[in-house]
Amino acid sequence: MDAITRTDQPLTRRRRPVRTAAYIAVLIAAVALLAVMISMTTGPTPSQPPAEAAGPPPGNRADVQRWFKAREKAQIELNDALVPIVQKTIGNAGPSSAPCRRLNAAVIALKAQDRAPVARIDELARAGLDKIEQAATACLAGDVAGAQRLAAEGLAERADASLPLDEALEGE
Amino acid sequence: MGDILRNRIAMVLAALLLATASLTLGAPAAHAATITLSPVADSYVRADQPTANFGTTTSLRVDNDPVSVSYLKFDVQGLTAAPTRATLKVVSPISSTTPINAKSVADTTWTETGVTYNNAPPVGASLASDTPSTTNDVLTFDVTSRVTGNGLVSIALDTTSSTSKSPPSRENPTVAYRPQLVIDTGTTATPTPTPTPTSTATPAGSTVIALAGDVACGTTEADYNGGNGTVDKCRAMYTADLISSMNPSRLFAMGDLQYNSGSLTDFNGSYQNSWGAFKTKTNPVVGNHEYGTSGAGGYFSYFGDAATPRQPGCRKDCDGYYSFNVPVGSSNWHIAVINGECTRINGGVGCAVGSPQYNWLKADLEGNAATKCTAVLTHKPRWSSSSFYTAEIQPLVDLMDANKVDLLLAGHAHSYERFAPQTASGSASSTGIRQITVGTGGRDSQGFGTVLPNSVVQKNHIFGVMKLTLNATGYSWSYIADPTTPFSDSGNGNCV
Repeated sequence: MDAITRTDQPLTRRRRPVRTAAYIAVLIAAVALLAVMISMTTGPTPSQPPAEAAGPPPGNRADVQRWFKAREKAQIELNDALVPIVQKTIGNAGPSSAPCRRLNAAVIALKAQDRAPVARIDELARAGLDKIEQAATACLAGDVAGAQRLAAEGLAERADASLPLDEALEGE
Repeated sequence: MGDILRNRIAMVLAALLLATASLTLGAPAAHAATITLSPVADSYVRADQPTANFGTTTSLRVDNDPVSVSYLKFDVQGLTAAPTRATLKVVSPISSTTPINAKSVADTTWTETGVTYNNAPPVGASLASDTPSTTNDVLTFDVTSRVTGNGLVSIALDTTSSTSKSPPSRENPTVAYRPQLVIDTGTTATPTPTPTPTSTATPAGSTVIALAGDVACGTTEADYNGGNGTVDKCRAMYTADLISSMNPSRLFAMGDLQYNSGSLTDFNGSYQNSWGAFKTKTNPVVGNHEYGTSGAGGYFSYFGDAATPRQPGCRKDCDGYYSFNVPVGSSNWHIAVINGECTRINGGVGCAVGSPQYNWLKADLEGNAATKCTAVLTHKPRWSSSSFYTAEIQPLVDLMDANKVDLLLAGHAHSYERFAPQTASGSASSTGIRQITVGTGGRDSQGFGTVLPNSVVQKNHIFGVMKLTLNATGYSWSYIADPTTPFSDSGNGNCV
């Protein structure tokens, strides 16, 4: 090897820039691959949607507007379905209870809506839905008190998310 | 800068004149468009307990078997002339198909703790009737003929139904459910000076309203700049100048009045130093940013009962919805203010069918069906060519459509947008609701997304207020822009 190295020195000197360039290329590729892997592992955080934050605030985006429009009926129906639970006028709960079945259908329908084009908005718009779904499940199981408690918790989560949602639409 | 300084000095002088006039002219109640009174006494009597008194109980009672009659007494003060309308409001805890009747009682000498079936004053002619259609329905009785001036007024409630009903009395712990006598005085609000000679004359028989939302920056915000703002943000002082020049009878403040969180400190600083000059003539609407302070406590504390006339004394987590009449010549416009922050009230479903706000609005609009012209004020619009709106008020909009509301006035979207009259479902209709969004009160500007089908005008990057002129059968609007952001839009409509 030494002899070869020595005899190849001139050639080696000529080849060194090419080899260095190859090392750099490999290094860049490795760094890029690492960056991609890190990105795929962590994903965008709610407070860091760089691609989404570019351009107009979400409240002015046509795709976000369409998303809100598409879920209007489901949102209104869920609100209406929650009234007997909130007002404690549900009467008997259980699998055949009309208010329980209505609430269950309504929350499932709203949860089944497409994801919002902006992750942060999707997260905030869905606040409380899991608890409300649990309330519907409790209602169908005949647990009125549990349904009312879970619905109240879900609605409190939704209320807490209300202003942050508005601010997210404003781009804040 | 000289002109700006002169304007500021004029505004300060105007505010001083306003304060002086208020002090000189005595009791502000004499100039209020609406006076809301609680009973000074109420009780009921029962035929089956002829010597019993129920004056300290938290409920009244009406029934036909055994006969039970409720008595209410109000001490009317502050009138300078016969009122244009007096409405007795009582809540019925249960629904019924049989009406409850309000009847005249000439004798006002009965006492709350002394009246019994045996000594109760005789009940006179029927004044009005109303039927409770839902639980906790607000019954409204037109008792104008019984309220002719200052002094004591007695009214009885009875029914031919044999199912007893127990409306909350003045002692009821739920303040919102207590009886009220709402008197429209027929006079305008506290007289105000005319700070500039530029305002145009108001046609006889009409009333000028200024309105906009999304107003004052917080005092610690970078663009606040001592209240002077920048070229594209925090311009509340300039829109206040426009209102001064307009000299309106009322100011409809359409929510998000104090950014960023509606704290009382900021209200007393930023808002007070701009739109606060018109506080005594302001009908406020609660916005989403007001809830940046717990229970919108800054907003309710700053405006006091003006923001919560249905719940006097409430200063946090109040319902925030109420109504009033604006005298227009010899008639009135009826104005209902809704709280579009539906998740914040009534257990989180404050706009849903059957919610207290829904039931209240239904009763309010139906109870004022005889009024030709009606407007509803909301912070968040139902429709917007952006995502700055809320669909959650749809049940309330359905009620508006069913009750022929003429105007839906809003803020929230920091822009100006006017829609053609449309149905609750958003279809064009010449007899529908015209929504106008005026979110240009000073904060900043927002853009648009996809323009909705019935949207007629969209404009952003402007600051200004709307001049709304109400008359007995219709209205006209004219957008008054800050001179630095020129824009105009005007037109008129008839009430349906």
